[in-house]
Amino acid sequence: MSSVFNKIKDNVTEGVRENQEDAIKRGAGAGKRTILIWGIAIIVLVTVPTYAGDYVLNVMILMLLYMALGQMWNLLGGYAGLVSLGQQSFIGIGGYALAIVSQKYGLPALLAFGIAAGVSVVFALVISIPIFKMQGVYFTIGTWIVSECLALWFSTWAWANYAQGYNITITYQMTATHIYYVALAIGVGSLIVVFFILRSRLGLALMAMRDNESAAEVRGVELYRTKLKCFLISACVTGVAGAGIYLQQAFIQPTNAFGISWTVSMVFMVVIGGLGTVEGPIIGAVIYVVLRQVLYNFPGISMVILGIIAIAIILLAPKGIMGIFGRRVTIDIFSVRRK
Amino acid sequence: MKKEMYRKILMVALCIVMVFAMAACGGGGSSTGDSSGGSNASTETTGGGEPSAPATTDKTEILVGFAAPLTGPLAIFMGPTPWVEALCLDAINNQNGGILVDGKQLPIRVIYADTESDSNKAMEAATKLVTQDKVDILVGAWTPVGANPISAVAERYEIPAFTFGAPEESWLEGGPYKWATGMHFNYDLLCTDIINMWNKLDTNKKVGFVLDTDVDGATGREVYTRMLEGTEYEIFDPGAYTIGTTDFTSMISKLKEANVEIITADMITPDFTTFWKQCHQYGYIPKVCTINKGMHYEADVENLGDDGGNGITFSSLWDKNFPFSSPLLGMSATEIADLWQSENEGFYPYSIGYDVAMYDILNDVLTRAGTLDKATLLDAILATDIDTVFGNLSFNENQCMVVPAIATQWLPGETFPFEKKVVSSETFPAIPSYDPIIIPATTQK
Repeated sequence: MSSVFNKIKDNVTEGVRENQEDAIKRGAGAGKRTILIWGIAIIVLVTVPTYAGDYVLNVMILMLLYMALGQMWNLLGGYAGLVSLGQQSFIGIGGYALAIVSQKYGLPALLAFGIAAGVSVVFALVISIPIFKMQGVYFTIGTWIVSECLALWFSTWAWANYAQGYNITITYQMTATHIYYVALAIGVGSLIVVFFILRSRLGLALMAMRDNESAAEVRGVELYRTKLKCFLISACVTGVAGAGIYLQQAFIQPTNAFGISWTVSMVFMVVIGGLGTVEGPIIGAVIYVVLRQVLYNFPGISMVILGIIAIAIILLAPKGIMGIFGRRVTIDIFSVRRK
Repeated sequence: MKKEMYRKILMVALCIVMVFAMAACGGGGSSTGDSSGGSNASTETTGGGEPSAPATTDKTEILVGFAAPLTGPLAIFMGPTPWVEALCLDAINNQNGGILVDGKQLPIRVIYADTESDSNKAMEAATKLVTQDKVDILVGAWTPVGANPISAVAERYEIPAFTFGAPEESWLEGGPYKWATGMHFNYDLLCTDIINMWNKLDTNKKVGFVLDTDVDGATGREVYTRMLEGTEYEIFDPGAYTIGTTDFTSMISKLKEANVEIITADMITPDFTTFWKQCHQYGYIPKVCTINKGMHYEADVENLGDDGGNGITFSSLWDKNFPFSSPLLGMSATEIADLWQSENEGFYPYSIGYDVAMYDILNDVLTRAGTLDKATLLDAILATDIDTVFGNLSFNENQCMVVPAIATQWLPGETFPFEKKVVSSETFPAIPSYDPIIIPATTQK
């Protein structure tokens, strides 16, 4: 199993490296165009509620929140080489932070976002002690086990209302527009976090590690601290996104909040979008959410169709959509290089 | 060169998918625009109480959005739904010519969205039905995983919703509701009947919990503990198990050591099958085995092999021997179950009762409302007082209709290897029950 995992990891690393090389080639001369694209995108996104109906708003909310999740998984898997199957731990923590703060104690929902971020970071710090002693496939499985343990713990925890979970009734009064702006803040926020991380010394260290851990260590990169920082940032933003998701969902139960399906969605988005690129999770989130909406028209076989599409994309475009665009299009709106 | 060709094919395929998807979304978007107006209209109507006539008279059909577990572990509840739907919609649309809405006879059309037996997906599916498909009334079903998030959607978008098939206590956790209503069973009443059934048996009164970590298991633990406290019964709790467990030997060993003669298990059928077979392998056969959630289907009992299912007691949510009828179909519970058995293979599933009652109520509500205005529809739902295959149903102060859930036993049958008999129905005395309870043959070995 270890050799298979290493082979997959090598392929992923190779794909990431090629995507990055493509991104570097695209580089120059995109300054003004990038600002223009950013400006238009922000205006369009901020004004969506003025011209779109509830359905489009809901689709946009899902895209933004899933994009945030994808960005954080990509930060771990695509840059730090930490292939986690346990990111749902932080989604659940974020969701329960919202439920307990607003439903159990009747406090403002906004407070829950700060608590979600704080608890997620503290929890990530605690589990990093045993988890970071594991490597490769063991790390991957270890993160998954942590999530399963959380699901069990919350199912039997009276303070968290056992497996019954919570209906977050405070969200009944919120309109799709309210939730959209929260999702927009989380989605754009996650993008900004990733963008600035990758342009910082931490980002350089991450990319060096991703390409060759031993070489990076020899050149002075502190592997443990770099990975830990990345893990904590990812946990923090995923926790906040979790609170945002359950603001939209309005009902939380341990088995769903800590379920592996969240990470499956993240991996799907990042892989089809393009691993190791900032744009990949954005494209992946758009495709994933749109596909899910379309597939509601095919009840019973929707998961089969989604699976076939995922397999087809992985086989035909192993570097994701960005891997194809990277060689042809010179637009680089998320350049991780300083110009 | 070959790679280039692949990429081109991929790009074309993706473009087609995207165009297809965006077209679907665009359709939603444009009609959402319409619906924004409709939605505003309905909001205004809510306040003013005046039907928004122009919005409804243009309608050509009544849209019912049914967010249901078509896939996943809860999909078993939906097995007979297409058959019931065909039967009931034939009665409403063809035999009665539809329902009179604002002066026009309109047929009912049911649009399904798959919740995939997942509460997150249930929320998304119900939201899509409301915001894209613009359904006039929302229906959601089976367990709190479906009923609670669908009720939340109803409250957020202020659309009348009718949910069914969950414990009332769990559903009410999301209340108080304004727009969501429910047809659910009450766990306290169910446990009362089960304890009444145990009272009729000669046992050492030691009750062992075999409860899962899911919401039903947690509810069962709370209710049984509360109801058995201070009685002659003694509780033994070996701890909750996780759904999907394949090795129960540790739990069985504890139950055997504690000399437990009554087991109350909250298990889905695959888990119970594993558990019960391991009990037999381990030589531990309690005098009474009562199971909630699973073993509702005759085929499941047969699958226990040999005599394994004989005498198993369980919580039945509907039975052909209920002395009630469907006003829509003009058939008794027995006739409906017999018709199902004549047109399908095997023993009738109990979920037929819920589906038929849902259409009975839907037909009654829409006929009385005479409009698709949301506020008027909600008022009509809440004013429901109807005799169905569950007996007379009306809403309590929590907007919930409490339907019977009674103790039943699988015993050797005439037409099928096993048939079920109601053995305790004190909480719903109109339902006949049979005495005495036969202790499973397997326990007498």
